[in-house]
Amino acid sequence: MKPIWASRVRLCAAVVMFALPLIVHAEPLIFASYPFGDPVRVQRGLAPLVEHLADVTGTPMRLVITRNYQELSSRLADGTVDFAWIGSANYDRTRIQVPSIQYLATYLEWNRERTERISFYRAVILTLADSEFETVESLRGTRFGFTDPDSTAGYAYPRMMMMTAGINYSQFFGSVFFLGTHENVIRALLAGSLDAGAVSDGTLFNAQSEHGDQFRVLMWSPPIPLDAVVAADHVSPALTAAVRNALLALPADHPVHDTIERVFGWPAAGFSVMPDEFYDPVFRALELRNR
Amino acid sequence: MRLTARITITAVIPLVLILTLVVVQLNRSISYEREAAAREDQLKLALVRNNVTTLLNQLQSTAAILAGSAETARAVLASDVNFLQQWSELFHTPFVSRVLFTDSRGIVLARSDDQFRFSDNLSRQEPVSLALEGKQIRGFFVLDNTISLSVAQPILLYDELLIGTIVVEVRLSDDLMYRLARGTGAGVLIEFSDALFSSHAETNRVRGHSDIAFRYDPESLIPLRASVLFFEDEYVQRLRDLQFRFISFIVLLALGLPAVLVFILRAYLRPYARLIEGLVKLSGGRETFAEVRASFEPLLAQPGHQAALIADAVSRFTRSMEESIDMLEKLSTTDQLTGLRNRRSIETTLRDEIDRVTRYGGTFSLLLADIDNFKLVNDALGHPEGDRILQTVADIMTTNSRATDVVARWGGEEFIIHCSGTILEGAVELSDKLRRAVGDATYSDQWRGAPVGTLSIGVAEYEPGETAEALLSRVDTALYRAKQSGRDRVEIARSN
Repeated sequence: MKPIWASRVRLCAAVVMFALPLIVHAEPLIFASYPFGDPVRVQRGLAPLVEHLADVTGTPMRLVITRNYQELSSRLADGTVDFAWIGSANYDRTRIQVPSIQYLATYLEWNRERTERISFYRAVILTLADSEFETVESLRGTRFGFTDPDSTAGYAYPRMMMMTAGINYSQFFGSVFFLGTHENVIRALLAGSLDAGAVSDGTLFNAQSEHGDQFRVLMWSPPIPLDAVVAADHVSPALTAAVRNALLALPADHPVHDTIERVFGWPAAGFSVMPDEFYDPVFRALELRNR
Repeated sequence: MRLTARITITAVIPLVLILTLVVVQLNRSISYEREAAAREDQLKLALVRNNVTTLLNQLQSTAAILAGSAETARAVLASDVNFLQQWSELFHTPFVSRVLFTDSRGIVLARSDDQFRFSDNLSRQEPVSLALEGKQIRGFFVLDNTISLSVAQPILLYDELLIGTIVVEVRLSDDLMYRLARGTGAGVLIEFSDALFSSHAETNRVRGHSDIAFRYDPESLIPLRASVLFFEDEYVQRLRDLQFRFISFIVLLALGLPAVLVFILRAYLRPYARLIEGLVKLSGGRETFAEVRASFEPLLAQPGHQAALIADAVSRFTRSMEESIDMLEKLSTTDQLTGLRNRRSIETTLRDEIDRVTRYGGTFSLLLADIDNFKLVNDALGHPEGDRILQTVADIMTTNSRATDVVARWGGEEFIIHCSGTILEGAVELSDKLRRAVGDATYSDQWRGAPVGTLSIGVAEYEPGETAEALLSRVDTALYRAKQSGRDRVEIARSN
């Protein structure tokens, strides 16, 4: 029979091991996001979520918006970011570079009827409604705008769609530009600097709300997995579990969702843990891109 | 020279001289200040040129940094509008207002000042076209309808492969000119054929300028003028204003003061002039005492004025003189004993009358009377009694003759009466009346009741062309006959 003190020591050691990560992190942890829109807006839209996670886990957190997709990926790899809201293509690319990245959950949205929570969205190739272009094929020699080479809906999927249609964009368009954010693509289109561009359907819906029905969609993408929340590999399993649980526990009507919907126009519906193969279509799209 | 002119000149000349000296002194001060300002101008010019050099260096260094960056090259190759725009925006300074990137075809990739304006082709537009040829260019160019001072250069990959261009600009504006001039005390002006940029609006204060060398390339726009402006120093300006005011004052003084002085002096001296004029006329015999006094009446109406006191004194003096003259005149024409006119006076009257009758026509008569045996009376009663008889006869003659008749003592016991407008018959009648009156008269006092005596009278009427002497001779002859004919009678003079 083992002495009682030995079991107590083990118990204490377990408690210390569990609590240590929480105690050691005196500096706020970094929760980062890619700039899928105006950085100030992204900051405003995600701040309540980060505050909520900090409150629930008892761990101070600070929200950081990276300059681009690449920076987010690099910082997850070098450990200067602890948690991240990351686009699906960006996630796929990052997990190839950093296999130890820890998937926590996938962001969910309501369908347009708000009857079902979905984990997908779409990319669109669009032009202005009053333009002469009716199909993607008619865009030959024109000025085209992508979001970012690491953007799922703003580059990876549209590029995959074009290749499927037999279009090599680098030779097909007269000029190709990368605008950094989905919103920038919309604004450049409205400013007349682009003839067509690629954005997410959520960006299109917001633009329609803001500017009216000035847009013509030339092509819709297949469903794209929504963004993921991930943790860098150095984050302890306990804290990872705590954050995941906090995300999954968010009710559909939580103020965090209200803020996301109000600021970004996204019909936020919560978070869910998806199976490993969930992001494979994105991976395939990226593979296609890299050919 | 008249007194007024003398006084005026005496008063004005010293004033004008003093003020002229002040102006000369001011002029010397202005010259000194201008020399000092010229020395300062060189310093200001150097400061502005330094600012311009700093501006050009900043444009060039910005272009060099951005063009030489590997990140820029990557972004240009990737047509990363977002990166180029955001990054170049960080280089905005007061001397860098825009950075523009194009790809190797001259297609705009980003404008730092307009995030959503790109994709237009500037390959044919300077300075992009020149940079696409591999040139590093600086100078004034019009891009996007705006004149800017620009530095353009190619963006090279591996220092040799042209992948795009960069243009770093500062837009020309009044505000830029002001920044170039700020702190120097000078102004900056750049003028093109259709645009003018100036640090200062008040170009009217500019007193000089000097050219600025912007060291632009020959392909760029050549400004009509690029100058450093030197403004009128406030202190010198105040001195000049003062000088102008002094000169104006001198001119006004030279013109106005004499006029004012002349006006004042004339007003003050006018009474004296009138006094002098009156006295001159009086001394020249052109005015009488009375006329002179009348001319002094306005002066006398100004009591307290010295001229009035003089006029009053002169008036009193002339009046006294006039009375004295009247007295003398009266004395010279009056017989002291009888109070009648004397012989000299009646002779004058007689001549005047002959002149009058000769000019205007008419006639007059003359009576010459003599008291009979008067020598005997004098001898018997004494001269005082004789005088009394003469006085009594004179009274009788005056009393019994007409107002228009002139009675005079001719000499001794002879009396003469001039009867103006009287023909011979009237004169004879008067003569007889007088003869009877004297004959009937007695005299009073000591010899109360004694007869005065008798009169013998000669009468004549003036004959045209006759002289006074001839007339007197005729009447005297008639008197002589009356004496010869027994006295106490009237004899008519014979005609010539």
